[in-house]
Amino acid sequence: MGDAPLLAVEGLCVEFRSRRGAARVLNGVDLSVKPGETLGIVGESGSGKSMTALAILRLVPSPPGRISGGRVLFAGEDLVTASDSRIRDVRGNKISMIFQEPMTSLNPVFTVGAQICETLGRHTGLKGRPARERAIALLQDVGIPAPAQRFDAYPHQLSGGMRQRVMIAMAIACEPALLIADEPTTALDVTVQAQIFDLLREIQARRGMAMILITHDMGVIAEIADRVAVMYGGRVVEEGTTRDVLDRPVHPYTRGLIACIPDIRDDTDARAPLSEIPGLVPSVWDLQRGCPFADRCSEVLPQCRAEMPLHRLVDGRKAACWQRAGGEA
Amino acid sequence: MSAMSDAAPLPPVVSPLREAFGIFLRRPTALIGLVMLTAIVACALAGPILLDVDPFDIVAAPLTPPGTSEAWLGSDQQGRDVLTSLIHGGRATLAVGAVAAAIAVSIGITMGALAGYFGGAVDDVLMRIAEFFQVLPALLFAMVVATLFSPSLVVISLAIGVVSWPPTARLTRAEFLKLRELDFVAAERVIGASTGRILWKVILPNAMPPLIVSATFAIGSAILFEASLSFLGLGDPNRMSWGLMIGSGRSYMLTCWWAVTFPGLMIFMTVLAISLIGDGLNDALNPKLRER
Repeated sequence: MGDAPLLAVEGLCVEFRSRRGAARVLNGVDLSVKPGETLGIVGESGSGKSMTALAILRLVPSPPGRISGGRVLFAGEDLVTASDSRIRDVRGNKISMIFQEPMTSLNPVFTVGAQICETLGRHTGLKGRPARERAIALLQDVGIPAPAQRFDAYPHQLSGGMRQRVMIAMAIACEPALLIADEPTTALDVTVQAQIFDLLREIQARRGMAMILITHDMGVIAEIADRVAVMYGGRVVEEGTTRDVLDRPVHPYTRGLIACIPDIRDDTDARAPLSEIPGLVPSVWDLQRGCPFADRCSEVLPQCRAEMPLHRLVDGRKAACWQRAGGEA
Repeated sequence: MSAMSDAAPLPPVVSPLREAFGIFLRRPTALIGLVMLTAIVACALAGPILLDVDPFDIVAAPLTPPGTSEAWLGSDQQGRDVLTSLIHGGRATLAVGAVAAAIAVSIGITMGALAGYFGGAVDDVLMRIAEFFQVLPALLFAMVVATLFSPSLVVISLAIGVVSWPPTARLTRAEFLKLRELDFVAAERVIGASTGRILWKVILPNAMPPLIVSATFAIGSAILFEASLSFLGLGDPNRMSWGLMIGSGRSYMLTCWWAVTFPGLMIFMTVLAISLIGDGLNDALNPKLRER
């Protein structure tokens, strides 16, 4: 695992301006993805998972948002400072992304085939018959039955699972080195979810593509991710191999998240109350100087409210917590 | 649900456009409008070729009533044949209507799309310009333009087009404001589309249904506008048009009713036909009005 990272995010900050001042939604995010690896990003709503994905491709809605600091190094090139035409060349070609909502992510007035061909034409120059054949092959790859017929279908004629498959076909059309999947199955049935994840894993294995999988489902992470980054309050609070983080979580927030997963095999008659983390994600307006999790943390120290904890190597993974830092540092 | 439909037999693929066309053809009123307009356009296009006579030629005694062999629909106060004038005049009227509407819709779509997509300062500036043209008395402005420049068909079309784009711009702006937030626009950005492509090839096709309907009505109102200008004597005096016929015959209206009634009827039928088509298109293209 000593090879250079494909993507390295360093100290990424994103701010949104408004009348109430600037709101920091990302506050120094550090991540790295090696070629062919799957990185899971977990966290509650509002922790900055999706914003991180958008910021990597420089798609933060602007104005009012902007990337206010940090670097996104993709194969050694900083995407934050790249030219507009350069970033358009990366999008969909080197780095692709699929969204949560397959129902609305396809243009309703064009056939799915035309939309796949459009992507192919833009980045590979493939047009006409060869593009059509390639698109049909892609539809076949993502497990769509009768792909030649489906090529001429309009999005509204396909089910949600089918549409997400089409989105995946578009995303992998140009053989990207990195695929960002932002909660790709949230809008789908549980049975279809499993199919989509199987498909993503299979495609990834076949093409040696790296993947960033954003989810709030720890079960999915356990199944698919090689490494996991836990986000909270616009920061990565813990990052390490999936096994390390899930088996021996270090950060109190990670432990809380894992405790929240109900066990369906728990067949005790007396139902234990579901576990929860008290409180809410702090508002982006009042990020204090200290640890953003301090107000909800059961092991809070005086130091936590005064100073932002730094990332330290704890038990083989990076974590940002004063409680754990003591022994190591 | 997905697992079910995955296995279900494939439904035939019908393009949305063909579907809308089918709905359009099932409306009797829309069909009547389409037949009427087709007949009128065919007359205006083919008539002057088949009937190669100058409409300004004197063919009968002035004020000949309809029903004579020299002039089936009568002659006007200068002895010009009303039927010939009607056929030739249709060309100018329809051409001005179509060109003026095309100008209005092009300006309107461009301004509205830029204002709606970019928002902020761009929106403010473009919408203030639109408001300026909206509060401008349109007929007065067109009259001034027609008086300042020689009133050729091109100048008149431009004058009408320039004063009638704001409603289209507002409609386009509203559509773009709504559509720019949708996921497929974001998805298009993700695969590396340029702003130009997103504006014209991604959002605009989705905004077309209401714009097609509004463009249809724009043709109707441009025809009426042209007729008003000609009636006031500000049209092109060297090109026969329905408005010109009514304008020049208006002093003889009581003794020579046929010289103003027939062109008036033609204008009425043309605008009615266009309105019927517009209504039919609205039913066919607006999913909220669709009954299945």
